[in-house]
Amino acid sequence: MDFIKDIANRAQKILDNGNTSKRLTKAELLRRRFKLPDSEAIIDESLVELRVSSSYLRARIERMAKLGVSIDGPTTFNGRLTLTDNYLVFEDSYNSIVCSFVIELPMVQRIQRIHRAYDFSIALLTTNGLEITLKFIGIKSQCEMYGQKLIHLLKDKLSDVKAMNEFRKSLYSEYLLSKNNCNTLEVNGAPEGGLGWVFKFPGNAQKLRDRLKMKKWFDFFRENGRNFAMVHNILFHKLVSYGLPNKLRGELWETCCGSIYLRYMHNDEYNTILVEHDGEGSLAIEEIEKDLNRSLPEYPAYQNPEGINRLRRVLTAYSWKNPDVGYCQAMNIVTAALLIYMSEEQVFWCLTVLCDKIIPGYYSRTMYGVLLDQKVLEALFVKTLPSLGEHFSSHDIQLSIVSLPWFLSFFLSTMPLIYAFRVVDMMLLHGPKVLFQVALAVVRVNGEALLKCEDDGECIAVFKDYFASLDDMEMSLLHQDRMRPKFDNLWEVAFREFSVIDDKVIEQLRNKFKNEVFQGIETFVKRAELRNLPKAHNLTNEQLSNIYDRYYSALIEGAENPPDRSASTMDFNHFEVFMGQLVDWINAGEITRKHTEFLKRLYEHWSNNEGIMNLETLIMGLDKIMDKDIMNSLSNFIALYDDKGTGKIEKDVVIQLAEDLIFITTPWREGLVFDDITNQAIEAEIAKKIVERRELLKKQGVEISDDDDIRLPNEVKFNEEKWQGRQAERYMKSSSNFLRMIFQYAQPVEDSNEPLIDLGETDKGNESVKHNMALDPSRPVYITPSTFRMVILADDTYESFFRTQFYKSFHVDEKINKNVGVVDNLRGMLNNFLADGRRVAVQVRKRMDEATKNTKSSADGRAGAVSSSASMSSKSNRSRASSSINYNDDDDDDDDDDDEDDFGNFVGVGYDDLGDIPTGGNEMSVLHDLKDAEKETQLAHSLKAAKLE
Amino acid sequence: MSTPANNQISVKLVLLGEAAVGKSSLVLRFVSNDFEENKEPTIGAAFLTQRCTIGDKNIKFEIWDTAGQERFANLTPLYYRNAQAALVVYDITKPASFIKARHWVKELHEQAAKNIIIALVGNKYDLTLDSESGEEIEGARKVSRDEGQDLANEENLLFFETSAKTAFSVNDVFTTIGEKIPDAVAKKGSSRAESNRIDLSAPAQTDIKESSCSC
Repeated sequence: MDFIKDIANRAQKILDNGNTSKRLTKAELLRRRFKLPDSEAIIDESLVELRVSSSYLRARIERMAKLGVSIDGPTTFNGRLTLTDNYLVFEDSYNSIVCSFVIELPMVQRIQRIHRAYDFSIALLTTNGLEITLKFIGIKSQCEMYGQKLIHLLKDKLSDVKAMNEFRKSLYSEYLLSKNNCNTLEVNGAPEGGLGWVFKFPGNAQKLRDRLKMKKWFDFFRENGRNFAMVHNILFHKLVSYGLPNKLRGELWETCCGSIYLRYMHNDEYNTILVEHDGEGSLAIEEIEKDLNRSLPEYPAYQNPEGINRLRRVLTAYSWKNPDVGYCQAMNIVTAALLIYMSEEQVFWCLTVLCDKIIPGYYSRTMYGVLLDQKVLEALFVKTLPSLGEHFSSHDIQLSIVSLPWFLSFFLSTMPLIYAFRVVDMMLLHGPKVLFQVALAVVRVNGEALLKCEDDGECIAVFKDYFASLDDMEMSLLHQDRMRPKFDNLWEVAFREFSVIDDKVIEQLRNKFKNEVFQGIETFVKRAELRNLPKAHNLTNEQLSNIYDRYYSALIEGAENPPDRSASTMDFNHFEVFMGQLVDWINAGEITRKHTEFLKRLYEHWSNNEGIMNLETLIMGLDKIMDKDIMNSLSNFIALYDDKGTGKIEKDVVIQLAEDLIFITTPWREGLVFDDITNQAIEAEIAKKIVERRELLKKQGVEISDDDDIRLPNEVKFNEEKWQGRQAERYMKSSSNFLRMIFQYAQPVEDSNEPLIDLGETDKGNESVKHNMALDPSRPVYITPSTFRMVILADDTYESFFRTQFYKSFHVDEKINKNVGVVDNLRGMLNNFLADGRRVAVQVRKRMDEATKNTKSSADGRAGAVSSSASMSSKSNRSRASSSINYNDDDDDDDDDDDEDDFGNFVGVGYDDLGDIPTGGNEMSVLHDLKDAEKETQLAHSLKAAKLE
Repeated sequence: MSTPANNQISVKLVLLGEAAVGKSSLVLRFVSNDFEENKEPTIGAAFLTQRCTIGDKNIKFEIWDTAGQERFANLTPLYYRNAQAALVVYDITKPASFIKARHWVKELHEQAAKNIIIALVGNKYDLTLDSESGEEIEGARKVSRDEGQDLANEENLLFFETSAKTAFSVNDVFTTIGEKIPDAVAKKGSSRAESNRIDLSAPAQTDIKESSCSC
């Protein structure tokens, strides 16, 4: 799976709403609908018939009756009553706007069974005076069970009642009612509030009709409850839409968005975070500091240390709470605005709900949420306002360029504050759809002016003028004879004309554009990050791109959210995952001590001075591995063991190195993959077989035209075990040779001036003496990088390993595919030896050419053989001319052969002679009908097709 | 309102650079000859226009002022697309902002229009001078003039050190770009006409509403 899909899947979890409801559980839907904390689980649910009343409602009805006005008593609603761990939730089945509520269980003061013969009914009384009568609908026994569970839970919550009452004293509504003697809860003194209490609220209170609004809410609270037990009815929704009164705004915000539940549940977490991280620094904090003085700078509190300090504390605390987001510009403006009405702790939790639930991904490192929503907005725009959409597209005007700041700061940086707060009121209650509704309404009411715009700039000017004039009076859209502020018309358009835009529509569009947007971000982020890396010498851009994908894929393994890209570092665990997906010699999932030791060594050497590995240091490390010059490759490898940088590697470390070599050559020793030596031998044998068969066919009188080219068999069956066995033998021999040789040429520590190689001592007799001396624990010895290089180069198998096998075992050429384990991959390669082997075809052809030559010479220059070889390509002729008959003479890799001095006399000693290399046998058979001449011809054709270079 | 001159040219110019280096302040100084001590950070991007007469040319600068915070970098391609000029701004008292400037130059060379004119601007020159004596404050400057000039030479950029606060050199930046523009336009020829929605060969727009130049 590639990285972007992965990110998309993870982000999906966050963004899922509406149309994916099939996948959401009932509990998830309920939590989302009623803004309950994530931990809530459903305990029971039932259909009920219910009436809500209160002493104040009854009193009002009586009062009105005396005046001769009859008003309806409490209405009966039908709906679903759900019991969760901490809440009792009701929603009307027909129209949720008319009645719904969430009651936190400790708010229930009394529960009483109403004795009736045929059904199960109860009466509830809440601490804040709501009287709820419930008639359960359903099988009576089940209803009674529900009742039992409820009573049981309520008993459990008895201990919470005190804390709940204490907490409620932090709410202005309780203070307000208490002050007016309408509260059973006594609140002495106003609770902690926002900066507005000290520095005045924005706007003209009289003009905003703040007193009237307060009175309306006061009445509402008495009759319908508040905060932890409040009925949401039509009046409630209307009151929110009118705009919230200054002093109640903070509490109503947290009630509307559900952050009040979190604040209650995690009482004091805010202060704890601040204390825990006191004095710590971070990138987010640096960024926050830059913006503290430039957040609503015209509001008096932010020209004062009090306001600045509150802002600093909330933003800092949030950056610690959610390090994935950290700090994003625009959060300063939003937070500064919320702080006018809310206490620090209230803002902290409100910000949490905003970032996690309402606008996920808006402030993330990639800001994918807000980019996605701009796509959604553009789509809605074209759909709902087609003529404007056409105008914009024909003039190449992008609405998203203009609307981006609206969404990021909920119009707080574009509209006059008093109006932007109205948007926030609605958004915290109704969610992100409000942003779309308002944005589209803004476009819609400016339609005429926008039709005259020729480019983005002119559009921006139109909007700027419009936002500055929201106060101006204009003709009401509803009543043509009345004047009202432009803003009221905007409101009308937003929530009447664009009411069709609901959560479902938005969710569908988000799903539609998600991949496209993520891909775009991914491309950009990747480009920027790769460009900023130091220059790699041995890695191509494509390989860098693959490493990049693998790096982040490993990093997000097991993580919930899209990772913090630019600052991401890789810890050792993720490094293990990364390497497990990259190299042949680690079987992902199978963690052994051996591999951990070697990987730790790589991790340490590839980390920076502070011991931190990031994409940059990892790439620099891999770049060294990929050095195709064998001398550099060996030097880089031995440097991994030169921990002190002295150029002297002590005995313990050398033993470690030898063990690591055994470990990393495991796939070859176990025959999971063949090395070059084995491959060449196999190729030689195949070639030999083919030539032999041609000879045979000729002998049998089968016509093979001279013009026919030779084809590779489509499938070759050969004795895997034989080759595996031989290869295993070679590797085991090499590993024991290595240990022997390396200590033979180790130097005693005390005598560092001794010549590296004493030419006089290469004979067998002295070798064992020296060998023993090196292993003698009383004599500390060390080896130098050149000793290491020497010993490796002296060993055919290890030399071949470092020449090609080792760097090829890092699959930087391959795109990440996590579904296939490396070992599975290796098996596949082995079984399809010839399946995709262009290179193999080349080799076979070359070998075959040589074999033909062999046969030819041994067959006294038979005419057939001569013409057969004459049909070979000129390249084959060249290579035949230049190469000897020795199968092991690798003419592909000899370009960079070295002439290191300390190597010269050494070759003979550990030289793994070519006796291992097979020259033929009966193990292999080419899988086609020998007598089928037609197939033979095909074979020849396909070999021609596979012609190299 | 002024009637557009025959040879009016629209120039799309984009400002890039780390957060709080003074991008918006440079624009404010150029457009309104004003300075605000605590300017709100730019969210997304801001758009301003300014007209100038440079030599015999009437230039209308269409300025996109982008947000500086790292994560907003995702959005900047929206803004520098089709830009004819770019200011890459850094703060001469903040070495990190100079590194960021290098990255922006690379990004522009790779992704923006081929013949975009780029000016490298080291801002906050005022912070390196004592306000009383006007002498250099030791250690205040963290990016030397030579470093800036070297990068400019290497990457073929215009180079300025400015102070949006004192207005030092700010107008020079824009006038120099303005002077450079016609050559660039001439070179661009037909290849970019299609992709660019600011068609310079078309007659000047007639319904321009922006206030005229204050400089």
